[in-house]
Amino acid sequence: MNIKVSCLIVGLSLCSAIVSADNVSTVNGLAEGVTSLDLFDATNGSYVKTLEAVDVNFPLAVLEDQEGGYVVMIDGKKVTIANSFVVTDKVFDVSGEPDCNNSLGNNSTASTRGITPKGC
Amino acid sequence: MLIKVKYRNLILSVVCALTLQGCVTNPIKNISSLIPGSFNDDQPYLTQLEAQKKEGMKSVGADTDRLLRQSEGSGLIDYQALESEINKHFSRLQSSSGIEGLTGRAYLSAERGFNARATADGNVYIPIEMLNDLVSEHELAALLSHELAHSILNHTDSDMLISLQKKAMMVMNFATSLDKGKQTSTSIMDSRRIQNSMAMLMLSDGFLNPSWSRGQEQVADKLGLDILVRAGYNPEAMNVLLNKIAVWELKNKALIEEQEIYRQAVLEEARKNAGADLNQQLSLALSDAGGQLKEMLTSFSDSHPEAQERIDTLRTYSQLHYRRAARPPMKDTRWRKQVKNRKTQALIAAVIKVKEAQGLLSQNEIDEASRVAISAVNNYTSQQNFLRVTLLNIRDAQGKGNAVRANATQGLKGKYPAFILKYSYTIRGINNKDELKKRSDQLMIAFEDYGKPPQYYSKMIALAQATDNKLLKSRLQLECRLSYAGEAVACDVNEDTASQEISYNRLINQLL
Repeated sequence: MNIKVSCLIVGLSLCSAIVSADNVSTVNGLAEGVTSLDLFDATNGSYVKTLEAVDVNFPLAVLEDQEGGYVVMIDGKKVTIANSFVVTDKVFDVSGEPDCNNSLGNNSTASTRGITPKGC
Repeated sequence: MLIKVKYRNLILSVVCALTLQGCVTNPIKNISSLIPGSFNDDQPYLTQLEAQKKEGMKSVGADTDRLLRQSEGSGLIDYQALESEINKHFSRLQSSSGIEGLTGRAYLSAERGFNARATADGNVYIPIEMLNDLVSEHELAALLSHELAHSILNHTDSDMLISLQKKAMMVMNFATSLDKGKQTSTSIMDSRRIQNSMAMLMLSDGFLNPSWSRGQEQVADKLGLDILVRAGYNPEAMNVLLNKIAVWELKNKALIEEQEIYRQAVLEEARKNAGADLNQQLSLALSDAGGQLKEMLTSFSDSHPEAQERIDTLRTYSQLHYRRAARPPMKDTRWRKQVKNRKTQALIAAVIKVKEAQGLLSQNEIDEASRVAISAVNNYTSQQNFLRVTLLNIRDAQGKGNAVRANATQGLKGKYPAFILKYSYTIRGINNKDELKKRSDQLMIAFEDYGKPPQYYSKMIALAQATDNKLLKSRLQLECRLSYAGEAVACDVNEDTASQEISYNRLINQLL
C-alpha cells in the first residue's frame, strides 16, 4: 500500500515537474495565414530549410520549449520551429495581478505610452 | 472672498485666452506625423524613418523627466546593478536603431503589474514586479524596443490634443457656469451641458480614437521588431511578450467588467430615482458627436482582445521581413539568476507589501498600515524611496513629527528620493518664521530642480502663503492653472486634487 502511494506521489511529482518546466507538449498545426514551416538549427537558431505544410505530420511532440521556439523531431533531426507561426497547446501566464491603484502611468499627469493598455 | 473669486476668474480668463489662442506650439501642424498608417508595410519601418529623431512636444529633458517620476506614485527603485544590466540592452537597441538623437534610460519603478511605460524624453519605466514575467533577456529587449519605438515616433505628442480638449472643456464649463448664473430656468441648460460634456469628454478620454491608439501600438510593435532583429535578438521575443499581454488584458478586463457591472447597477438605480431619463441623455450626447461615438463604444466593449489583433498583425509583418532571421534559444540563465536573486525578490515582495500598506492607509487603518509597512523593512529596502515615503505618510497620519523627519532623512540617502522627502526634511518642525522663509527659498530651488512635480504645487503655494510671499503664491497658482487646467492637480491650498480632473468617468460618477 505504502509503496503504491509512494509511486503515485513520485509519479505526480514528475508529472508536475514536466508541466512546470515546459508548459507545452505538442505543436498542432500552422497559424492562420502561414502556409509553410521554417526550420531552424536547434542549437544556434540559424535558418535550416522550409517545408510545405503538406509535408509535415502534425501534431508534433515538443521536446524542448526554448521560449521563442519549440524543439521538435523532423526526419530524425532535432530542429526548432518559431512560435509565432504555429499553433500549440502552450498556455502563457503572467504572475502579477492588475492593480487599479498603480499610480505610475495610470494616474499620471504626464504623457506615457506603455506596452499594455492603461487598464482600470 | 469677492477678491478671491475675482482673482480666480482672472486666472481662468487667462487660461481661456491662452487655450483659445492655442497656447501650445501649433499642435495641428504635427498631427499628420501621428496618424497611424503612414508607414508602408512592404519595407521594414526602420528603413522608412529619418536619421535624426525629432524632439517630442511633451519633452522636458530626460533628467527632468526622471526627477518628475521620482516624485510620482511610489517612485523609482534604487538598484544599480539590475538597472545597469537593463540599460546595457537598452543602449544596444538605441545604437542598433541607427537613429541619432535618442535620449533616455530605463528605470525600475516601485509599482506592480505588467505595464512598462515610455515618456516623451525616451525614458522607460518598468514596474519591478514585471521582471518576474520576463523569462529571458530577449523578452526584456522586446519590451524595451517597443517602448523605444514609441519614443522614436513621438507618440506621446498626440496626447497634446487630449490635453487641449480638457482645457477647452474647462473653458466651456466656466462659460456655462457664468451663463447659468443669468438663467432662471436652468433645466434646458443643464441638459445641454451634460450632453456637450459627455461628447467632449468621450473625445478627450480617447473613446473616439481607440483605433488611433491601437494603431500606435501596432506601429510600435512593428518598429520595435525591426530594432530587436537589427540588434541581434530573437524576433520571437516580441510574439511571446504579446501573448503575455493578451493574458494580462484578460485579467484587466475581468476587473474592469466587475467595476462596470457595479457602476451600471448604480446608474440604473439613479435613473429610476432621479426621474430624469439618463439613458436618453447619454444617447443624445452620443448623437451630438456623430454616429462614430456609438460605434466606438460598441468596439470598446468588444470581447475580442486587442492583443490578439496585435499578435496576428505582427505575424504577417514578421513573415514578410523576418521569416528566416535567426531564432537563437531564449533560455538564458544569467538574466533569470538576476531576477530570481534574493535582492530582486526581496524588493518585489516589499513593493507588494508597501502597496498593501498604502491601501490600508487610504482606508484610515493607520496602525495596520504601519505594521505591514514595517514588515517590508530589511537591508535591501531600508533606504528605498517607496518604503520611506509610505512610512513618512503613515507617521504623518499618526502625528509623529520626529518620525516623519527620520524617514525623510533615511529616504534621502537613496539614489531616487521623491520631492516629498526633501520637503519634509527641509521644513518639518520649523516654527520660526524667518527660518521658515529661508528654508522656503531653498525648497523652491529644489522644487524647480525636481521639474516642479505637479502634485506638490498646493504644498508650495501653502508654504508661500505661510511665509507671506504673495508674489510667489500668485505666480505658482497661475503657472499651475496654465499647465494643469482640467487635470487632477490642486492649484490652491484647499483644493481637492481629484475634483480638479475633467474626465468622462468623473462626470458619470457626478451624475450618479
